[in-house]
Amino acid sequence: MTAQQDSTKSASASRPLLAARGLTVSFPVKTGILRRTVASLTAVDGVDLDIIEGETLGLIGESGSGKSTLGRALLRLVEPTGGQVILDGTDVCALAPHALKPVRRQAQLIFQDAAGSLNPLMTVRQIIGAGLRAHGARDQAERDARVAEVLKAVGLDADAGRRYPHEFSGGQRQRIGIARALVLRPRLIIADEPVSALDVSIQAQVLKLLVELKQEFRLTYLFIGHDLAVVDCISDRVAVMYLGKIVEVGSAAEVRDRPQHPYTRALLSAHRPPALGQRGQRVVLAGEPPNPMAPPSGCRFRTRCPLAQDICAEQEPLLEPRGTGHMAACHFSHLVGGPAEPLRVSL
Amino acid sequence: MSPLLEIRNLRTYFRTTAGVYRAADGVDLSLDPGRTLCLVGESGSGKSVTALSVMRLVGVGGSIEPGSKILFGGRNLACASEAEMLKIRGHEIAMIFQEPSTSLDPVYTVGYQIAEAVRAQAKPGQKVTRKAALQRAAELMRLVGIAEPQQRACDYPHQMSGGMLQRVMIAIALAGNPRLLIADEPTTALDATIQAQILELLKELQVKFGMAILMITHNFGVVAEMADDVAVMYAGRVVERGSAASVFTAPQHPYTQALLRSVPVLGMTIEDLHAIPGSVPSPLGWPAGCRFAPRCQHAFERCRLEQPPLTAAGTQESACWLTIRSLDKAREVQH
Repeated sequence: MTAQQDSTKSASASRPLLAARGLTVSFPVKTGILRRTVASLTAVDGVDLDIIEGETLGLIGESGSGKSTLGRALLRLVEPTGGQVILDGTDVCALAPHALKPVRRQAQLIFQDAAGSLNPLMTVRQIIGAGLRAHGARDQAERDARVAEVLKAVGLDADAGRRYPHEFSGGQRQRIGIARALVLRPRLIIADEPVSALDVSIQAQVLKLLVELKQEFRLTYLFIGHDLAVVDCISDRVAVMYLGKIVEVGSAAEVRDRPQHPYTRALLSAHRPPALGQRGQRVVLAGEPPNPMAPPSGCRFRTRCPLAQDICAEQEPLLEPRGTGHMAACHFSHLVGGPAEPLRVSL
Repeated sequence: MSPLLEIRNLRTYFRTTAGVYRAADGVDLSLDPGRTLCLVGESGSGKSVTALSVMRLVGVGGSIEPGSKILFGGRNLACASEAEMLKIRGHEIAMIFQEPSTSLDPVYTVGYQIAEAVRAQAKPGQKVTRKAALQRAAELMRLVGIAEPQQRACDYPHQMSGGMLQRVMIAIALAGNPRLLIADEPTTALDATIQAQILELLKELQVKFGMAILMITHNFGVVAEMADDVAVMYAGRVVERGSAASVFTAPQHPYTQALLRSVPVLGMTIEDLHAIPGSVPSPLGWPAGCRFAPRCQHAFERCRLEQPPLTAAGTQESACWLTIRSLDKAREVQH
């Protein structure tokens, strides 16, 4: 790496390790005996996203918002139907399937359901070593050494390698999942709700471990979650997703303290319970997310939005800058207000 | 005011091939009429088993051990007959669960299922016709905030979202006009914005129906939102109980203190977060003495030998030798 690159890396606006441009994933909806395609469900709709080297980007959204699909599409684990994913200068979407291997070595996934993603018939050493084997580490002794190394890094005994997944607790299984992702020495880790299934006292352990490993192995994270407080505490920047679109992105502090999209504002309100003795003071969002097969015209949030006007049905708001490094897709960003003040329009 | 529900030394054990699984092992708590008690704890702490024991729904292999007391309206439910329980379930105590989709029958419409509850909960000797029950079902659906209840009553469970299904479950629970509603993680499976709606609804209905709520949760946000009183469970026992305000602002038990510091709150950094070392022990063999001692940074010799009783500390009660020791010392100084 040249000195110039090095200095740009330390600057605030570093080059993205991974960039998605107009990324779209649609699934056909089939019905009847003939499995005819009757409609399509666009889970991810024209997403632009940069993940900067060395950062943790939090991606937050409710179930069905497309956040997991987006995470998988970035590695082509689901095939994007449009757009580009550029990982370190290579267009991942243009690669032939066999050429994907080196890309996947650079980017690994951690899943929410650690138990379901570990083969119960394999020992931990085999599970973690499988990736090494697939990527050409033929020597058994070398593989075992690497496995022992990552087991230690995630805080498990070397002896754990000989045991099977069912012998471990939920938190330990998630550590195994992390070790499996780490063993190939990736640069990017996509963590899809890695702590959602864990108990609160274990959650903090795993979050702290992820932060330690990030420093030790110089990793970049895309951290997908639905708990705003968890995503906020681990992320440098946060992107908010609603019905297949990114509606707001900015530094964690900006998004938390100066939300520019009414959806983010409502999420913050749902996560920030009123102080004790002030029951019932918070904003409750009316309605439910609309059907993703027939999203509303214009802004997708308008059916639940307290600020919606006619223009919101006619024109789709674009993701536009709202302050330094902060972007939001809303026609009425200036009316959203801080998390502590009441929304100006009653719900 | 005498409590509506009082549980004393509840022990619910499951006999398995691996040994005796002591899920609830000496639970003490009490709930006053019209109030909300949140039972907080991690998975495996015995909070769901405590709730199921109140309903006497512990299932095959489970038994409420002799000596356990579940006092409700002057009766001890721990030794009530099945016939008595049939009169209590639904009529006086109703329950809602975490996964509404698995609690409803997929082959009947939701309206039919609510009407079924209405007819089952009718006062003895009072005959409710199918038509009247369906009408009441629609009324209940309106009450729980389902728009166009007449139409939605014809929906099958798979046609409704998770939030709507939980509303249907609440409607079924309300059919018998219960004095106590047990809610076992009612919002855990729901999205944040929908969770907020359901909590608001429960608070509104509590006032309207004058019910007490026993809410089981592991989410402190939900506790802050809902609770008048809190009982914190660890390894089959209540380790701290008191008003929500006192437990939140001045937690006495080291487990409560550690738990509160391990939950991220908006605006916290990862350094502010304190992880509790180790993991929850197994109900097949709880540690001797205080069950939190192996993970507790303040543990001393007595903690590993003797189980601490719930003792008044501040405005709440806590089961910790540390508190007891400092209380004893304070008393010595006084004399």
